[in-house]
Amino acid sequence: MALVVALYKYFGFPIGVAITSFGAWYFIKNPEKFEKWASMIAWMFTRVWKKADYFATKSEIQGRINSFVSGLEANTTATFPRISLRWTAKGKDEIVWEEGRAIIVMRDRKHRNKNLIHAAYLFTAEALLKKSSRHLSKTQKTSFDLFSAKLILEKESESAVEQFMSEYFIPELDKNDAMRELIKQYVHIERLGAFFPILIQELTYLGNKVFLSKPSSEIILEVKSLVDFLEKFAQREVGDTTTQDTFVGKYMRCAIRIVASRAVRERGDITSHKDRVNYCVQGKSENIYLIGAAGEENKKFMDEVAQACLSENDGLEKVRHSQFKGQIKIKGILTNVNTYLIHLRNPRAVGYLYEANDIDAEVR
Amino acid sequence: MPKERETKEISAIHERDLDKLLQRIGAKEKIDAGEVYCKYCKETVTNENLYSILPESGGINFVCDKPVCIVAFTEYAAEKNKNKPD
Repeated sequence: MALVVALYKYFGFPIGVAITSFGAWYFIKNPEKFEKWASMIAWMFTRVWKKADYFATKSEIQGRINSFVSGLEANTTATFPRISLRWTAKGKDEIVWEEGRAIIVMRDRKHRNKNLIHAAYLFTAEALLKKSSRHLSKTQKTSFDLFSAKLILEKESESAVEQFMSEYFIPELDKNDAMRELIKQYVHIERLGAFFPILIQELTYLGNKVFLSKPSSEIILEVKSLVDFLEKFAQREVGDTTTQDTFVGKYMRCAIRIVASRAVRERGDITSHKDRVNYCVQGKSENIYLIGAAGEENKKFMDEVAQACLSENDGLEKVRHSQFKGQIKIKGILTNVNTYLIHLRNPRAVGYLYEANDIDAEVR
Repeated sequence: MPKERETKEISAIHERDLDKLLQRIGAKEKIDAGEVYCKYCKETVTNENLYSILPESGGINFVCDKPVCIVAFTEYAAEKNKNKPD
């Protein structure tokens, strides 16, 4: 309140109202950011009023994790759940006790990192990757959980990530070589910026499919092939046209098309790119990812390619375009780039119910 | 069209309220006497190292805060949660 009064005094009434309204609108649109700010203030209060740490802990955990989740949704079409921390037996409240529902112990202000790590890891495993990890092996699932929790903490709390790495991540890798290899592949995929926008996205679509006769080992192998494919793609040199850019599995079919050639762009000729996308649509790729540099001219060119494909293929949908930072290899050197991604979805190619031997696998 | 947001509720207890909960479930005396063991490593659980309380199959399991036990518990909880409706 004092802040609002100070704003009005300093800027005058109309500008003060405008600033306050903008602030209110911003926090309504981004509740997780409001929670992060509120937790910072609440932590200061805990120095004089211990019980403020109920609010501070809850808003810090919700604010940080939900902030990461909302960032994810900007880059994928998947919907991810938000975390909500519910206190059990707070102060004089009744104890809420449910069969099968675990209660996590939260510690005081000296253990803020520990609290965040515990909540982030449990949330990742139980909710964030629930759909995407439905058909995975234990090692695949644990590796995704650990890697995703690391990404959350890396983005939201640098001090917590260090503790997470030394106490959880590294010990798990040390006792499981298969997991170490998988994590190495995710690191390469994430460098390109494709871990959530493509890999987790594909696994989420896979999670929505139902297998009438359980081909679990077959799916596990297919997920492994997808990870291999994405890793090879992420590791390719710029200009290398020999690396496979289409993944056609039995249950997942996706293609990545690079739209970045300057010469072709300057000619303004979209035909070759459009034909390559059309080929994927006819080849029953469920998802086609157009990827290229995020410079204005290239983005415009990519949008034109996508638009031409949409108008030539009934049912094809543009579900998302996004921009993110990544690294690509130029003459063996990793180089930071801004990447533009357009996700085209081909619903006609999508199957939801599978029995054994429904489709013949083909990888080209 | 705006996406419908699902919320995952995580139940938590502040260490300040732990005694009250343990008393209520009749585990306080056992914990104080060192007679409660971690579901995974089988080591003694105390107020200081307790990470999770899990009521299941009519009983109550306790998990200590060793990272290896937390990883085991998290994977177990996720596996149990796997087939619940979204």
